[in-house]
Amino acid sequence: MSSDVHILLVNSNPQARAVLKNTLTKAGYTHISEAENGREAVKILGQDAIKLLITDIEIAPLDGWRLGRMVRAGIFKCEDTIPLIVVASTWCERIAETTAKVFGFNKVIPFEKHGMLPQAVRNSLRDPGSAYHKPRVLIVEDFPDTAFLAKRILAQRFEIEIATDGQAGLDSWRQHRHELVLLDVMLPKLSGREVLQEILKIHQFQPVVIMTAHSTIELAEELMLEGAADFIAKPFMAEPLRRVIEIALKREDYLISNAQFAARVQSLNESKDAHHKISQGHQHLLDSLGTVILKLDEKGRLLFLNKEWERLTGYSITDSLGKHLSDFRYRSDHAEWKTFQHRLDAFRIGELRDCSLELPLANKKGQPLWAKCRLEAMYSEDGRQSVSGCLENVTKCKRAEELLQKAHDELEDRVRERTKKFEKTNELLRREVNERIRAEEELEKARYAAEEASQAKSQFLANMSHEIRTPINGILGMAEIALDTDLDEDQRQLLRTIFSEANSLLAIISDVLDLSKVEAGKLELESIPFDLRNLIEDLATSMGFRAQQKGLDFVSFMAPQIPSKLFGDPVRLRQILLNLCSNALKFTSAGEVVLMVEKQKDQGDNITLRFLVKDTGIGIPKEKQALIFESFCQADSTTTRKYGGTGLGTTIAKQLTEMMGGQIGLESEEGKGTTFWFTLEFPKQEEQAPPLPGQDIDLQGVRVLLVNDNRSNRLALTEYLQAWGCLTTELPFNSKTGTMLLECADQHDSFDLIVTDFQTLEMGEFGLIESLRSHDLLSQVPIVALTSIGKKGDGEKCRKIGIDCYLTKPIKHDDLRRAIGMTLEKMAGGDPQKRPTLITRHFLSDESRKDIRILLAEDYPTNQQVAIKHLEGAGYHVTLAENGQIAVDNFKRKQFNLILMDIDMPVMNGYEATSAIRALEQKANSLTRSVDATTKTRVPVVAMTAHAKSGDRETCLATGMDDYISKPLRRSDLLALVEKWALPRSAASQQSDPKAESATACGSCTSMDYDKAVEEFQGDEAFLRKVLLGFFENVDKQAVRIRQAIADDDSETVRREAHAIKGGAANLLAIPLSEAARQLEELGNSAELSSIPAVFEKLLWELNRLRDEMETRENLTA
Amino acid sequence: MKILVVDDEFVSLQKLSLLLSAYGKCDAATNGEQALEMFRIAHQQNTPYSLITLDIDMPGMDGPTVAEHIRQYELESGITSMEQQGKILMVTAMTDGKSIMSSFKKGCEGYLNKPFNEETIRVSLANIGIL
Repeated sequence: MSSDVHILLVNSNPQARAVLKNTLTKAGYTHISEAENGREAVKILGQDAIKLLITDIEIAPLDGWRLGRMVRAGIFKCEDTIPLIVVASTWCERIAETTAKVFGFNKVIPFEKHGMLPQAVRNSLRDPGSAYHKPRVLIVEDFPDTAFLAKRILAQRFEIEIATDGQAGLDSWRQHRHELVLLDVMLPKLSGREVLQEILKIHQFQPVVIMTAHSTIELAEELMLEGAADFIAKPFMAEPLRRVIEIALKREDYLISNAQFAARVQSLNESKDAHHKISQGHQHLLDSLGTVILKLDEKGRLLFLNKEWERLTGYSITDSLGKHLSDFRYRSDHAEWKTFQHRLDAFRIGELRDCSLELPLANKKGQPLWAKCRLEAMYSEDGRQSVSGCLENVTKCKRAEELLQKAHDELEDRVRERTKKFEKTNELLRREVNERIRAEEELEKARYAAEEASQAKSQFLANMSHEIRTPINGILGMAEIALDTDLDEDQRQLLRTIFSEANSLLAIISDVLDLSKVEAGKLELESIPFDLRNLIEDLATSMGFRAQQKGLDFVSFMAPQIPSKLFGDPVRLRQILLNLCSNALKFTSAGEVVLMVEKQKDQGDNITLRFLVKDTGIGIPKEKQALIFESFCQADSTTTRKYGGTGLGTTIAKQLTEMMGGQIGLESEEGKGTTFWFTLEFPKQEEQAPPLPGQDIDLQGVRVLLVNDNRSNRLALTEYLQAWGCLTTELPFNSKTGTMLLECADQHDSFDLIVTDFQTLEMGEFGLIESLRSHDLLSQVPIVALTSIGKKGDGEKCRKIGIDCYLTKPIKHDDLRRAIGMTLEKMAGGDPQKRPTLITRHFLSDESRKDIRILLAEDYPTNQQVAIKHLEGAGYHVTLAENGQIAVDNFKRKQFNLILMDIDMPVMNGYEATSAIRALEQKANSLTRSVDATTKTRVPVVAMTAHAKSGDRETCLATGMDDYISKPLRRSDLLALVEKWALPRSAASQQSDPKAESATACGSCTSMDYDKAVEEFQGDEAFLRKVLLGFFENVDKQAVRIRQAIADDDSETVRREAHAIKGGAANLLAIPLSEAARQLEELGNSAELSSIPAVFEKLLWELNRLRDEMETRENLTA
Repeated sequence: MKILVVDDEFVSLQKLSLLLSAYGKCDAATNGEQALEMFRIAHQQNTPYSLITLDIDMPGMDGPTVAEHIRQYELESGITSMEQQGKILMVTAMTDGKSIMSSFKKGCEGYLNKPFNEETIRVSLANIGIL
């Protein structure tokens, strides 16, 4: 398309014309007409419809401006809006500005930049009207009609602005610099002359045309001399005004051109001069510059270099001239050299005048050299092009830059890396968080599952316990029943085996379940007050029984000075001791098992105790000792077969010990025995037990002769005696004992007490004691006899041979202390000829309690029964009150040594009752204020609470109570408590013990084992008697029913009643009666009615015999 | 621990109550119907018995039947956990193997032979896992 554009190229220089034509042709503009001067141009413009005009300014006889203005005037064949471009051979900024603005040319290009021509052509063709510029004319005229007329004439070609006074005109021009000012002479504010002068002061070439009336032509001429461009007389015609304006506009250009030319000639001369000077005289100045000055031809070959080049590169100037600058490049592959080439090309086609770039050169040594290069295109007179420029060594900068870049890159890398890392970390973190969340969820799930599992486990344990125990109990029951039938010896043996194996199985299961409980953390430890000595001695009693059956001795010893009232978990402590003691008994076939408690460390409020269980058993080999406390482990697997058991006893003991914060261990020598020990720390109770009667008797310095059968268990006895301050002399028993005894007696003047310690009374040879009694010195010495195995009738024997005190072992510390104390006291105060009561364990418990009156406030019948039984059984006098109100009423009437107060009672509760009692006391005390303070009374009140909580004690004490005991009431606890609060106020009674006498007197009773019954009723004879009376009453009724049933042939009633009598009688240990009832029951069962009457008679006979015997006993005791 | 002692025979009831009072608070019933009523009331008051001793041979409702009713009642009340169920000890006179066997089938856990004493009671309690 571009080729269709008809371009007129006007230039008087044929070479320049050729360059321009070439440039245009290259850009694709081929339709070009040429004109050498203005005349030719006008000719062509008149013939052809030119689309674009490119002209030089100097195209004599016309000039470029005028040609352009003619085009714009529309006098040619072409349209007046075609693009006009000036390519000026002579150049100055001023031309460019004014040309473009004033004459409506689209673009002005200096010839040197003719390379820009195609671009300019393209742009101006694309938007021809854009650059069309109407020259602006400022009309300064105060007469509106004239101003309007001038505007109408000029508006088509010029942009018009009107100012109506001199000052406004001047201000507007200052602001807009209109190309031409049409100035009236006569103006308000500022005159035309003043305005003109001001304008020309600022811009000496500003075309100003003066408008004047004919009368003031002279003034106009004056003003023209002062610098106005032209003048026109008013009234003016259209054409003359236009012409005057255009001429005035052109006039400026001429003025400029002239001034410019003069300046150019002068500068050229100067420059020639300078050049000469440089080339001739100041070469060394150039050479001394620290910058390389160079000149290249249009292809980049070196035309000129100063000395700095040699210093920079090491190449000599002579060698370098004529070579291409890129011959000195460092490496060819640098993009900079391509850029360099492009720049040179751009210079050549005139697109670029100067540029700046950095080039990698190499010095002679081949080292890299960075040069900052500023290049500028130069055109010689003949239009030849060259490039001048300078090079600066920027290697260091470049290096620094590179380093910087490198550092920067590194930094970026690192940042990137770090970012990556962060991302990674982030990712990890996110993952971790997710994982955490998931883990937490899982944990929660697991916890839930574990809880469920735990619940399931305990449920399972409970079920297992039931599911396994129940059938084994069934087996045991069946086996026991079967054993009770008629069997031959083989069958009996088989059944016994079943029975004992089932029993072992049950024991094993109990162990396993216990361990599971401990391991499942199901076991909770308590810390409650308990009496360690009681615990140890109770345990010793039951262990003693088992030891005795195996022919072993069981000895318990707890040093007297160890405080007994502690806080802890007595049930678990007992379990540990039981496990270790049972173990010891199991693995010992001869000798003894000793349970010892030692003080390890007394920390004031707390005490650390060491418990020892020593046996003389098979021992444990060294290498197996460590395994003993592991689950399911016995020292030798063969022992499992021999001794049975799970081996869990020690494991449970260890776990329990550790749960309680203690340590456990063992020492053992194979074949000699084993000592298990464990240590535990207990807090002490604030108050230790008050002394019981007999206990406060001073035994200091009492000379005691100890006679024993040479077994090792006298240790405890000696220790106790010595701890109490006794002086002991030991004498082993053998055939010479009698003589030695007498000798001893002589030597020591005499003894205060003789203690004999034999396994059985028979072994002690009553003869020995009898001989002692016959001896002068020893006849009055009280004798305390201790035996390991008590037998029926022992008491009677003791009394006969003059023993004063008889106790069965294992020895209880307190009992022994009191027994000795009381024995000595009795001897001191009593008639030596008349032997007082035999002191027995039974006596010890009952002796001092007869005058003690206890008020029991309790509403619940069972608890009433239990408490009354325990208390009355121990010899106390009990008054019952069903509620608090009755208790208070009772208190008003009678004096009591102790009140046991239930808390929850109807009508009035325990707290209220206690408060009421305390109030009554205070009243009574205030009445006797003047009297001695010791007479003041305050009855101890002890609360009985159902659930002992930690705060109960405080609550009780706060409401005026003195102590509390938790229910269910245990006999030992209750009695200990009563002794603590009630006993010290009453002196020990010296009365004899008729019950003990009667008990022994009736030892041979055949219709009923009364002693054993008393024992089975926990020593509570009174209760036993009540039960006996009830029994008789019931049996009488039952006998009537049986008699009736026999008459009615009602075998079922016979059986049932007989069954009941059988059970009751058996439980009373009235064996003959029970047996008769059993026979009757069987008959009733088998419906053999014929023999029933006879058996019934037998039953009645046994019943009567029992009744008679009991009545006799009743009389005896009455 | 709450204990219910059930026996129609006076001596056994007294002696068992006495000896069991060492282990817990004892209530007494002299026949099966009364025992069942007490058991229900205790349950409803949320203070159930942990141990029930039943004489195997009582007029009216005998021990095994009472045991059966107790288990039935527990089942109907939704008490299926062995931990929560009361333990039943059948007190026997060692004459009738069949009735003991049936007792175990009807939900008792163990037995106690008459005549009993402190030691045999302790063993029986241990055998059913109470000690």
